[in-house]
Amino acid sequence: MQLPGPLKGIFGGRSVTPGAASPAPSQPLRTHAAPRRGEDSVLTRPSRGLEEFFAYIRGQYGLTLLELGGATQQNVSFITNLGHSLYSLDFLQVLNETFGDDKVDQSNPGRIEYFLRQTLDHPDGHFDGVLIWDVLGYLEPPLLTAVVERLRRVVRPKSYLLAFFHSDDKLQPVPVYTFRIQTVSELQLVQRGTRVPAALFNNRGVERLFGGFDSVKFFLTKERLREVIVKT
Amino acid sequence: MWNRRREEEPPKPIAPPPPSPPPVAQTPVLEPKKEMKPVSSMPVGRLDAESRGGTANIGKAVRINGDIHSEEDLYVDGNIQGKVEALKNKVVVGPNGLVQGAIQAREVVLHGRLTGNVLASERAEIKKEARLEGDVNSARIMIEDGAYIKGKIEIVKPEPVAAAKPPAVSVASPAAAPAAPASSSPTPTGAQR
Repeated sequence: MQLPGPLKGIFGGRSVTPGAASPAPSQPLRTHAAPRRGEDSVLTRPSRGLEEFFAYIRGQYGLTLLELGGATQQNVSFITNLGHSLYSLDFLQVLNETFGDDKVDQSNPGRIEYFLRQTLDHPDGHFDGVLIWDVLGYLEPPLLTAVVERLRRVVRPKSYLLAFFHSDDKLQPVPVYTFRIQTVSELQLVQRGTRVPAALFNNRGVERLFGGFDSVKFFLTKERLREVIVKT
Repeated sequence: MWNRRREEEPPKPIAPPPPSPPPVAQTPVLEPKKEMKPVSSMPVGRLDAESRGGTANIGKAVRINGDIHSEEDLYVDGNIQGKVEALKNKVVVGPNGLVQGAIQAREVVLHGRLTGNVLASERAEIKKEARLEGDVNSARIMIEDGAYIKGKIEIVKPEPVAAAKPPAVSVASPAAAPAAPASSSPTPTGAQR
């Protein structure tokens, strides 16, 4: 017999202890939260790349980190609560505003320089780390090369960059995500439409892309995203 | 007598309905006269601020070249080329507002466009339609999804007010005084390397 309201469980049924902690995940956690208005889907998953990134900066305070995915409350709160400051930039929005759908224009040196002035106009060694997320995958090769080289200059030596690349084997629309940091090792991926990457990347291609850096480390995820930690 | 046909029974008198109670004389309640305000296209928040009184308003058709210093709350929906300063008050940049210069206030709420830094001693709020190109330095920040920010975000907590020291009572030995305990929390004051 089920009674309504607060007496519902009095004759049985599942009881929930208020404040009980959720069990520690023994396997990759994947929850699909209700999407907010305007968002396609939301999922939360562990991220080895993120875990490595924060492990490298653990114990340091007052760092200045660069994030290229656009400002979100979660990421700003998380980073600033660790005692760091965050330089935020919506890289893809500036890309759209600068080049629109014109991929050929991404080879124009003048336009490339203008784009770099709009996005990465900082002194050398200004940042202590960069959360690139997946934005590099949407840049045509000439622009991509210029951006990676500029990133190498604006980040101080012995710093780390976290970048994601889609690991599909053919050029097709892939989800564009907003990445929200939940914990030092967990990310919430909020899909905001789809976009065709500019190029395909395998491990060898990523290594060549970051050839001017000290080291590159890979992690492959279930969303066919290749997480890459790059050390300057 | 008892076999009388019903129709011959005299109709029973219908009891008149009870008289309705006389209407209670209602003493007219004097409601405070509401101030008539013109219909405005301002956001609701704007009206709330106005209802509290003491908010200066710069409408969307107003353009100011120069710095503004205010000692009351300020609502900016126009174009300002200069610094805006309201150290003890709140500054709201409306959806039509365009400010090219720093804003320094107790609270800053941005709906429109700002090219310049935000220094908010208590709180900065960046709404989803806002576009900010500049740094934010505040004790608290709230960012709505969709807000465009290009700049450095730094949280600076106000220093706690030091408590009044009790009168000194000298009991310590001349030996070295005990060291102060090391702080376990990071000091969130700007990028310190």
